Amino acid sequence: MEYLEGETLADRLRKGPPPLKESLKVGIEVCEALEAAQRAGIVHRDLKPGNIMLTKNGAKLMDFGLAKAAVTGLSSAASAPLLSAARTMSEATPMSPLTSAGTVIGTIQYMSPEQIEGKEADARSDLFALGAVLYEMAAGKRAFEGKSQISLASAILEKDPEPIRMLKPLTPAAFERVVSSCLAKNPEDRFQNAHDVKLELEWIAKDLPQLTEPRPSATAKPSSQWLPWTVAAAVVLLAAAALLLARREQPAPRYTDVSFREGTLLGARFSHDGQTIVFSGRWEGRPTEISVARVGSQDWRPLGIPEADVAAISSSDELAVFLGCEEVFLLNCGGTLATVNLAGGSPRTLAEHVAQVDWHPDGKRLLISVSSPDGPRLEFPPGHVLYQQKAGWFGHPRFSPNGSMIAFENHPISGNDDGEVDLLDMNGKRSVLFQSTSVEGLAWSLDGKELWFASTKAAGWADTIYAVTPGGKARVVLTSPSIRLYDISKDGLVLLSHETWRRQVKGLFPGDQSEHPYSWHDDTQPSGISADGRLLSFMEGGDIYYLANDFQSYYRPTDGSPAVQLGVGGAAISPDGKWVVLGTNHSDPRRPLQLQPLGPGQPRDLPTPGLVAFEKLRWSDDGRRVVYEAQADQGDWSVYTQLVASGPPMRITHAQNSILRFRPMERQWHCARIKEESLSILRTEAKASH
Amino acid sequence: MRFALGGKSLLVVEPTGHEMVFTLVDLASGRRQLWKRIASEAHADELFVATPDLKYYAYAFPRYSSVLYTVGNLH
Repeated sequence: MEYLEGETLADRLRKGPPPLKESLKVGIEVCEALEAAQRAGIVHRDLKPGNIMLTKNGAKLMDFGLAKAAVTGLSSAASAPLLSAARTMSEATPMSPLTSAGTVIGTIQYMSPEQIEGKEADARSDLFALGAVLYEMAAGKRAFEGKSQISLASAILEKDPEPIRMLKPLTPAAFERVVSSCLAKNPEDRFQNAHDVKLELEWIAKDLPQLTEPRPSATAKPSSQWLPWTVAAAVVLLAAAALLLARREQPAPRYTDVSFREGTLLGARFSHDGQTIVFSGRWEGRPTEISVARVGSQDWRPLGIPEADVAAISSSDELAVFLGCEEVFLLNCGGTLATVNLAGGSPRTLAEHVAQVDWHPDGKRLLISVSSPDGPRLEFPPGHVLYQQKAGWFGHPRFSPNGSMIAFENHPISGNDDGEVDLLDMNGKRSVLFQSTSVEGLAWSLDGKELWFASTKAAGWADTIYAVTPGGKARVVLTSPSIRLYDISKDGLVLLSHETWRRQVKGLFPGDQSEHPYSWHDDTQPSGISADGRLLSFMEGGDIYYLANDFQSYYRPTDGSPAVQLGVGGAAISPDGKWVVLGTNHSDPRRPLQLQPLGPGQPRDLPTPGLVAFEKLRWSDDGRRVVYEAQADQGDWSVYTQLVASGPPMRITHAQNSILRFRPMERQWHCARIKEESLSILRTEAKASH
Repeated sequence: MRFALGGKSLLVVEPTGHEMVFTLVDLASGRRQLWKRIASEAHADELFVATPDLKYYAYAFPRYSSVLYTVGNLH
């Protein structure tokens, strides 16, 4: 083994960013090492400053032995990159601040998008990491940052780093282009090999003296024709410097834990003066209770109202609470509306079956939301319908500080947090400010000029706090995974929760006398079981979902043997336990349903022309057909069935907001449907869809 | 909800908040029979799988966890 004397690039970066000339030299030498590795068919897969040794003889790239092991581990399963990356990255060092003990995935600071998605890494993945290293050397900060591994992974997958020249205005544009190309999300858009990157860096290095070293002023006084440009450039540089200074002066968000207990939160609000937090939840297995805490204190006390949930606090510190929990949505309760003063006393009951509530700024009148068979409605004052629609539910209605408008979440489908942020005037005129797949809480800014809300532009739970003006101009305030926004205090503190939910599996299998746990990773959902009960297919969400942006499917013998990974998406095992059908609900016409053998045999695609996404995969009891919901390329979701042996998908019906199950008969299907709480059996015929 | 016992019955799941109540509905007679109660807050029966004879099964149950924060310095 070669002994190398020197320091790692990580050590060097601790002292500050090196001059560009030095960065180029390191970059060129790393390219030479990668070039040699690529010629030998080796992908490093863990290129990072800690693996680059700066010696008297130049930069050396270390840790290739690990790379070989990782490549070998790639051969069988699609998730291997993810797991081998975990192995690689689990060595916590002072330079890997995001490594957290006990998690599956370590720091992913320099990992390429395809590695995060669990796809196979190739030479271009190393070039992505090289781009991240070059960026860090030039910009003096990491290319991608996040407060958690999830947000970091999200940044790598979706965001472009801040332009280097915003941070270092004298950086050559050509260098910025090289780094940007290396950091392209799609490997096809990057340089394709290290040799090309090296040539670019060498070319930039040759021109470097002209680019960075100023001419002596005595011999090169600018002529008058250049003066305006010189002044303009100086103004641009000053503006950039001022912008940079302003950004640096803005302190980082400061999080302070309030709840300090294991449990689930149902509601939270600030008192009128902003110094007290009132929150309700189910803590450590106990029934719902309301607690009171002072801002900045780690102490809390129960308010002493059993089975109650805080909904709103008036300007005179009168609480609006719900007694009992009638669940409107996940961890979102309505119930019997009552009021009680924050100082104490018994609740005074006002109305039953109220879904949401807020106080008018005058502290005397209440706005309520009621869910009824005719749809949800907003009443202000109670009894006077201000706005109503036919379906869905309303969440978190909030009066503007001057009482002239009401903002609320408008969720068109019950049991779902898809929806809009809407604004309502006192005449009941509604306008839509924002549409999203998840809206989780809102609050008005202090001056009432903006509405802040938790939402997302991706799939899944809210992960961003946006601010939007009544005119609809939106901006991002904060990104953080799985959040719900509750309130903003008079001092500008934001009250929000971080939500995690995981599923665990229990089952009863051959030989069992009683049910027992059968989870695999941190979020397991069963998706199928063989007719003899000896094989179980399941999907893993949780951390894997956030990192790979999709479920990963597995099957596992129910005798306790280890699970075997099947691939991305959902899967269902056939009744005879010999096949699985696999598909993803992420629209992609290049990924049809796939049949995978669990024994000898070859995987094969099921012909699904025109269908781009699949979910709720099932087999008929006789194992001849699969039944699934699929999205046509025009966007509609329908229920389909398909003979496994041959034939096209046969469309049965629309995938409606009701529960449907099918029983294949000779030429018809019997469909059991639950809709609006009534169960019916229908007959239907499958028709070829294409 | 799913067909069970060779398609002769329906297994219907009713979430009640703290448990799932499984009822077998005989399609010929309409007779209902409690099959099982499972202590779980799971709402979707997609999280339940069973063999056609209902001898063996698996289900998922959720674990929720919240942490409440105040966050300063947001602009």
